[in-house]
Amino acid sequence: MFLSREIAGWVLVALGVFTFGVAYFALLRNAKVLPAGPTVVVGIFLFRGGIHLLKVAVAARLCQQPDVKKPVVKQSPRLR
Amino acid sequence: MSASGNPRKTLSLMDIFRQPALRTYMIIGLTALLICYTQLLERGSSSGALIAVLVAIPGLTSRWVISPALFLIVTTYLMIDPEMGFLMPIYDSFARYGPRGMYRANRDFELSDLLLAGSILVYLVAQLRLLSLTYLGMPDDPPPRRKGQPEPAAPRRPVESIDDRELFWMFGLSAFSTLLATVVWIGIARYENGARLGQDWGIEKPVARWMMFIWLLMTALIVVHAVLRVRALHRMSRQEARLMLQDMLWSETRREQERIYQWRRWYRARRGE
Repeated sequence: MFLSREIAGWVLVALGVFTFGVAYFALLRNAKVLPAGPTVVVGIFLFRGGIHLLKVAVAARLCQQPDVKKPVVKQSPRLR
Repeated sequence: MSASGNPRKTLSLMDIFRQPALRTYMIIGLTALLICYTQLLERGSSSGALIAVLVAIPGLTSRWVISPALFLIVTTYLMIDPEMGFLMPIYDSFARYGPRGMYRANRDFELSDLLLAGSILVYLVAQLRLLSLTYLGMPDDPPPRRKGQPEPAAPRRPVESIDDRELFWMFGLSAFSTLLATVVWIGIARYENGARLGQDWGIEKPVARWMMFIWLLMTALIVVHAVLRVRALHRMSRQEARLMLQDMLWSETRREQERIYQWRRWYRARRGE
């Protein structure tokens, strides 16, 4: 259930980045300045939506797991 | 307690020379500066190269924290105007030849670019590590305190924490970053020849390449931001995750909840509760 949301979040993030690419490579480089502006806005919404979906999915998955104590990281040996 | 043992006391130049690890970082920084100087000289910026090095040396020897920023500003300017003709019109080179550095961006790749970028990177890493060991180990961000309470001094990084593998990672990562940047630049130079933007907008090849570089940089940054954000989310405790979900639920259903509780309040007031 949460995995599908997480995958959907990453897909939305990738779509957002793809939209930024379309705005630059397909529109701006061909001197289509006016369509490039709204395309960037669409990309921002897609990206932010993806991040939000990822946040919800990860938080919900963590809530279902038992709270375990974080292990103490062993430090690397110092020579001085 | 000696100066090197007290993490809240800044180190002097003599303390730096006494500690082998600090001395190593200083020598690495000075060597990188020497390579920068020769490469800037090769580009024709004799006075500019001298200014850049003179600005950088106090950072390595006297904990001048603004040094790396000033060095980067000066070297960035020298990339555009190597002979400083714009700042010193007596030489009249800028007016006569224009910004020569920008037109160097027409080229695909040169070994001097690789050497200059690598040496700047190594200098910056050595300088910042030296500052963390001699001045401040972290940004000065004191916690909220009562009125009149003295500001706590941010500790510097203890010398004992230096690992022998640091130098290996420092040189390895610097070389990898420089090579990656070179490959990206060659890719940009091959792809973007400025023909389309030059035809439609009148934007020349160097500026077109910089535009694409900035686009790539911003895209890479937002992707890295997303990955790091999700990685940080995975480290949350169960309580933190629950709090985050409650906060999201409240922000998304705020108006509906307010409406429901408003009617409940009205009903209770009517019943005289």
